[in-house]
Formats: sequence, C-alpha cells, structure tokens
Amino acid sequence: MTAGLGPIRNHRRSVLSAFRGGRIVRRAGHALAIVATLAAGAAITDRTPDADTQQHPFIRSATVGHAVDARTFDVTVLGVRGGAVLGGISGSHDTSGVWVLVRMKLDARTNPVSLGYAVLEDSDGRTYRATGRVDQSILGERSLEPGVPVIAEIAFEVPTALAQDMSLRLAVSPTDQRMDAVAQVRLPITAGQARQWHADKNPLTLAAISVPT
Amino acid sequence: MPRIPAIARRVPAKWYAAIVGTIGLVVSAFYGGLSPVSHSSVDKGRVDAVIKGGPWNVTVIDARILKSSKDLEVTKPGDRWLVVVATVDVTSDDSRDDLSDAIRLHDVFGLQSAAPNRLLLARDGTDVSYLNPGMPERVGFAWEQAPTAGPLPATVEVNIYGETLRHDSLSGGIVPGNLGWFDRRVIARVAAPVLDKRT
Repeated sequence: MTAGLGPIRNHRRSVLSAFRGGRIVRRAGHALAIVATLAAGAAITDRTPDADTQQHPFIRSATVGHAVDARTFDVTVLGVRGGAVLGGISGSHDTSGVWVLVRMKLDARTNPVSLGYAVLEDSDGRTYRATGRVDQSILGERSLEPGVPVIAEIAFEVPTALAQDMSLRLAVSPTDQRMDAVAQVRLPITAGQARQWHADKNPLTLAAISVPT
Repeated sequence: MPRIPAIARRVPAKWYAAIVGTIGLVVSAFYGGLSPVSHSSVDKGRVDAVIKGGPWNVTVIDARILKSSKDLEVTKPGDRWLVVVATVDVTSDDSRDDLSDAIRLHDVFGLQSAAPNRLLLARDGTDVSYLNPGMPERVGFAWEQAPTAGPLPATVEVNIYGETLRHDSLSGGIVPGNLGWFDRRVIARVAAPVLDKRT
C-alpha cells in the first residue's frame, strides 16, 4: 500500500515546494518594491531644492546710473562717497572702518511703499546694515509715493579693507526677504578710494531727502 | 512560528529585563553615559580676556558706577547707573541688533530690569542699534540701579551669553539662508572690578 502512495506523495511534495517557491518569490518582490520605493523617495529628496533655494530672494541687479526694478519700487544709484567722520545732529561720529554714503533715486511703482532693508554686502556674503548712529528717515519712516520719486542718501559703516568689495541691497521688509525682489547694485569703490576716505577726517553730512526737479 | 526552547520559557521575564538593561548601560557607557556630570557648566572667564562665542565675542573690561547726567539720565530720582564696559566683536555674517542679549548681571540687586536699560557706544556715546561683523566696538551695557541695592561691591559677576547657528527645527528659520541663532545660554562668567566714577 505504501508503495502505491509513492507517486502521490511525490506529487504533493512537488506542489508544496512550488507553493513555497512562489511565496519566496512573492516576498522577495515585496522587499524589492519597498527598497525601490525608498530609493525613489531618497532620489526625489536629494534632487528637491532645499529650503534655502526654494525661498531665496529674487535678486535684481543693475549698475550705477541704471534703474533696477525691485517689484514694488525702482532704484537708481546715482553715486557714492565716503569718509572717516559722519556729522549728525548730536555731533560727529567716527568709525573704526569707513563711512560709505550711497546716493540714490527711489520711485514707488504702484502703491505707497517704505524702504525697510538697506545693507551693503561683501563678496563673502557678510551684510552691513545702514547705520543707526544718525537719523535716516528714508528707512522705514518715510513712505515713497508712486509717481513722486525722491533722492536720498543712506550711510553705512564698513571695514576699510572691504569697502571696494561692496554691493548695495535694498528691499521692503526689514527682516524677511524670502521670495521677494531685492535690488542689488555693485558699488564702484576702489581700494585707493577707501584708504583715502579712511584718512579723510572732514565730517560728511548726509544729504537731505529731496524731490528731483 | 519558531518554537521557543523549553529552557528559554523557564527563564523569568525580569531576567530578560535585567539583561537588556545591562546591555543598555554598557552601550551608553561607550557614549559617555556613565561620565561624571559637572554641577556647574559655566566657565570662569577673566577680565580683558576674549570670551569666544556666537554671534559675538565679548571681552569684559570693567564695571562702573555712574551718576545720572544729561546724556545718561535715570528714570527714577536717586537711582544710579551700573555700567559694564565690554568690547563686542560680531562674529556672525550680518549686523546684529540683539546685543542686549549678550550680557546679564549675576546676583546683583536693585536693577530695574534683567536686560540692560541702555547700550551705549563708547566711541561717541550714541545708543547702539546695530554692530557690524568684523568691526569690534567698546560698548557700555547700562543698568539703572536703585540706591537700596546697598553699598558698592568690589566686583560684579557678569554672565556672557552665546548662541548656536543652526536651522530652525520648527519653521526652517528666517532669512538669510534659513539659519538662525538659537539656544541662548551662559558660556562664561566674569568677575568685573567695580569702579566708582560718580565724582
């Protein structure tokens, strides 16, 4: 009797092994799918721009004498001068570096707007805010009206050795320029000029805000 | 379902817990888990020595008692000024307007507030709004102090604070570069001599 069951057992064994083999293949497929999904996720994450890139400001550049569109206002840098001492209502202010005064024309485009952010940036990305040691009402306080351009001068204090390496950056928000336009103008300052300014002790006077005629 | 050996089933569960706990201790020991804990993590700094931190380096010079004057007027009659003079060098990549966070006084009584009431530039006496990177300045951190604080001490302890530049774990930080200065903490304590400059 046992001899007669031999082929049946062999058949069952082969079916069982085929079933087990299918299960292994299925499990391997599942594992492969998981690995492929993770790899695809990692590849997408790697290629997705980081938050810095996604939210970076839109830099609009121009040179001195040319208007640059900063979305809500236009700015044209008219000139730059410097010195070692800046005069103010409360007296003269010296500096360990050099004063850089940037003269510019500002023109709101469609709505009243205030200039909240004014820095000089060096080539290493360090930024130097417009000074708070003298009154600079063009920053934050004064509203620019569309169709009424104004000429203003903004004062900055920077290290003498880096003065020839500065770009002006202007924007509306004083704290957050993410995904907003930022006007940038490279300042034409030479190393010799910076040294000369550093040695010049004649107090500079910040020009009053005016309307161009 | 794998079959659990009979001997393993006879071992009490708390033995397993003890074994896992021991392994945990051994592993943590490799990462300093058994190292002695310092009771005071505040380093002692010295006057005229640079305390390096971020976003500023601070060098405490001295402390001074000043009387009210036209340029530095107290808000309550009879109060005096306790001014810590320090050189601040901004080490971050941007101008800082939060310098009042750099210094606090430790165990000094009669102050109007924990933060200094005024920050003055020694160069010309103007109130400090921003200090620029790479342009160290001597700054007076001025606290208005009630005369009831008692006699003048020979020294005051000045806590120097530092912060860490990192991404904001909540929002990704603010501009520039989604990095921000966080985790403000005392990095050093300096005993500054007090000079009476009221006369």
